[in-house]
Amino acid sequence: MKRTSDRQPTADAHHPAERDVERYLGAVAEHLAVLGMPPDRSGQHLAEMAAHLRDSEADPWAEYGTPERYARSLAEADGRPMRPLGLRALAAGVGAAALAIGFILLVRGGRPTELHWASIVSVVPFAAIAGCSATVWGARMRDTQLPGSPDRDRSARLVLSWAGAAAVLAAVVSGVANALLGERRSVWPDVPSWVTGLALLAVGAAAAAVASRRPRFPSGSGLQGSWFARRIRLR
Amino acid sequence: MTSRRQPEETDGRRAQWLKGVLEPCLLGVLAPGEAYGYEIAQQLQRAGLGEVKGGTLYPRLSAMETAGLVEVEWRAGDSGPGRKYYRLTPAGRVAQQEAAADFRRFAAVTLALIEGTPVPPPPPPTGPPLAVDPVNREEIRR
Repeated sequence: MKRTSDRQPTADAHHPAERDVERYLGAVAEHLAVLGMPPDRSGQHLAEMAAHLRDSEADPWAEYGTPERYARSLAEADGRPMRPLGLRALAAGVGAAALAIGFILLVRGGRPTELHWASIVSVVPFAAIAGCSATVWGARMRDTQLPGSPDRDRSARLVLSWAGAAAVLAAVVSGVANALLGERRSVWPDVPSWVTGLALLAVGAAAAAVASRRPRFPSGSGLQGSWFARRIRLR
Repeated sequence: MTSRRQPEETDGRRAQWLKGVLEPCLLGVLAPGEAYGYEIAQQLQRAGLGEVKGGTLYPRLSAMETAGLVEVEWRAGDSGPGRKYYRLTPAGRVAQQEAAADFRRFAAVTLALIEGTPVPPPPPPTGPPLAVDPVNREEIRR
């Protein structure tokens, strides 16, 4: 696969070079979000990258390296710990689980749904792992779709092995939780299933909103609310 | 006989040196006044440090911002994205002066070692003047 710098200069009506820059910045934004960087701070970094690339007309790969590595160096420079299992990953996993279960309950209706602490404690670790794996993998897959991408197989293997190990740990946590809390009474009120479904959908929507927070560009960067900023989006 | 080094080897050595001196150089570049990232990279290149990539420059500037050595301000550009200007804080000015003094000594020693000339003696300690109590001062005067 060719890098952007290997290709011919592109000055046609579609501005593919600009699109490459946007895609690159989008990939960095994804990794910064995975690392738990607040939207204000990631917006600062991305706006500065956009300004630098515009001034220098440099190829983003040649200038910054891989999106994942550059995002990590920015996170380290900001003194932030590497924490892929952050709020966003948790929100993505829990939100997806809440939306799925809420939808099933809403469609099924019928008798009230019992909800035990054991169920909650069992579901949340798996949902968190699923969310974390999905966000990390999603970010790496996004890199692989860029020109000059890193090795897809290696990224996938790393995430899968990490997720497998975490799932085993979550299974242990769930087993312990079921053993300790399984016999307790339901913690959810005696209401029809569709009400529970709606409540879970609301939780899922709120979590999805947290998980999909976009970078917030600083005032003065000229990017607030711009077409460019709308294109720098998280998946 | 002179050794002919490959350009890659020279670039690699320069990159290694740059890692150690980039922050003091950034403090020095910002000492006269504020500048934005690309402008700083251009100044470093014009000075002869070679091309400093954005991937090297911005994390270091960001770390200096986190450490309180520089403060930043965004300003809108004429067209397209605005620019983030960096300027030294009072702590950054102190750090720049300390770095200049430390590096002057370090450079003198390393240059002497590389050239095989006598290493200059260390400078006298520059601490606060020793306190002398009035009794001892009288004794010294006698």
